[in-house]
Amino acid sequence: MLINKKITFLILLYVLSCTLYHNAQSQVSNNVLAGVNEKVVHSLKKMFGDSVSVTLTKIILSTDEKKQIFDNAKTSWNKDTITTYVCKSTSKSIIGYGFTDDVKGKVQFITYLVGVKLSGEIVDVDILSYREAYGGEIMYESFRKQFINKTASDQLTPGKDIKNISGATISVRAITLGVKRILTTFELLHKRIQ
Amino acid sequence: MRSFYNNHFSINFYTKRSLKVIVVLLFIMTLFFSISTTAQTQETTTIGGYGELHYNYNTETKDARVNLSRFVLFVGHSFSEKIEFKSEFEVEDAKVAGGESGGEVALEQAYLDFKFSDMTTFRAGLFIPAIGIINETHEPPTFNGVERPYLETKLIPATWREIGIGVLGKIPAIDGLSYKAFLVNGLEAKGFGGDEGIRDGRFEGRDANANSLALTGKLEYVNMGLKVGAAFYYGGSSAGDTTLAKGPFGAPVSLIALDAQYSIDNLSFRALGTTIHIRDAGAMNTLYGSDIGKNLLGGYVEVAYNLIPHFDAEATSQLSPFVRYESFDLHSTIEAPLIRNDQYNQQYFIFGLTYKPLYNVVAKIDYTLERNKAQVGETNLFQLGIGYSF
Repeated sequence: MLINKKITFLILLYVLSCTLYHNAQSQVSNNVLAGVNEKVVHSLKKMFGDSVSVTLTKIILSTDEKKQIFDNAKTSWNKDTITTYVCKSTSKSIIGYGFTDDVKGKVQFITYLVGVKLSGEIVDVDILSYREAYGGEIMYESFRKQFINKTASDQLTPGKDIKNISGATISVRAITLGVKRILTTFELLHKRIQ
Repeated sequence: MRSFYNNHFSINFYTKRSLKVIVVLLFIMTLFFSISTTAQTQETTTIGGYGELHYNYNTETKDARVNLSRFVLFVGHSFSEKIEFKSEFEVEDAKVAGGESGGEVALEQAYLDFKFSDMTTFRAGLFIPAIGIINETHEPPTFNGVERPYLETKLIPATWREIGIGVLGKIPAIDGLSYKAFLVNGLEAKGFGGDEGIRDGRFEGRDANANSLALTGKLEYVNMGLKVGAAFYYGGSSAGDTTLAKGPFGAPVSLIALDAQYSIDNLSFRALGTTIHIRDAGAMNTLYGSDIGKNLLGGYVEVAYNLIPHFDAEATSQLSPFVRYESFDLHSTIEAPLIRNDQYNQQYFIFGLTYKPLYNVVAKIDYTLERNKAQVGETNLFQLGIGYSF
């Protein structure tokens, strides 16, 4: 094949650059998970104060506990392990918790974080990753602030207790049911979290 | 080397330069689209849909009709955290039979979204411009009345879809503010008409003439129960007919639509106003023998009230009586020698009841009064509808 030397060189350079860049990207993506955690820590600091220390732990639910949660929250966990962040003050006493979860929007998952005080009230709900083009109105503060100070004993019916946003019914519903499930889980199990 | 190539491949200076440019572009593209490398992403395919069944009784003609007016399937696929495919496939009137009018099978949407950040998602494909309310949100449980608002059928021709590219996202500085901006193929003035404005000038993704182009966009603000939007459209409509106009924005059509939705407690309101300017309506009428208006203008207001909480405070179902008033004129301004047709100055009163046992299932009943300034062809319609979406 009679190919111009220059063109060959350019093609090889292109392939090499892609490979190198792709490797670099994989490095980055290995840190993506760490990056998500950084996002969580950043968010929890906004909720509980800059001096808070955050440790990652996991709660493992028994079948019985999952059933209890379903009975109360009307929505069930499809996994056994709940990712939990324990937030401690400088004096090492627990001041609150963060729970991350994924709920299904129309097509994509919505990743969010709920910050809960030791006393059980929600500090904030932070949408860590909203992937779809529609329904993203749940990211707005005007929507999220409805969750502030809600506890497990509060009814959180989407469209009623948590007001709906026109055109975002599915994501409003998904996030509201998810938060209710988290609050119910917290209520049941917070004594177990260290 | 040069002489060899001059003999065999005749690659001259410009071709080499183009090749270099292409390689550089390919390289940049690879960088750009390496956004998809996330360690643990699962590809998921989702199926959704909506449908509606209508019963219409025309009190003037005594004609009763029942029709599966729409059956729609959404197929979506998330390739990664950042790349998503969405499509909307529709069958109207249940079947399409050759040689018979009615019925339509159409791909209403098929596009890819590349999400770079909350501020920027890049979209490409066949999609719906953000104009008005119904165009983007038309699942049966989302609006009152068996039929879609007349304004959003005749003036803003919902469901309006074209092929193009664009960006959308949230504006970071202001909580609740988002934008959309698209470049799509234009309209075809040959299809315009006095009775339905620009509606039949749409290509809807089928072999669209890309000699005419259009820019369209929307700014939307959401704050809890309030949602307001301002949309514009500016596009050419000569579609290659150089006797009408030249250039991508020749024979321009401009449109502005302002919409508002507000709900508080059990009360909800909707309002929409739009104006369309077809600058070369006169020339189009001469060229195509049509009766297109130069300016089209209109609006509607609607109020609904959910009664269910008065009977059962805990229930999430809805039973909402509603009223909608629409008024528009497709001949708001006309260019001589066309004579204004008062039949195109229309008013609609719709009274009805919307029942939603669940948020995505609906039963509808309404009584629609169709009126026009010429008082020709006026009638009252009694209508029933069932709809779902998932």
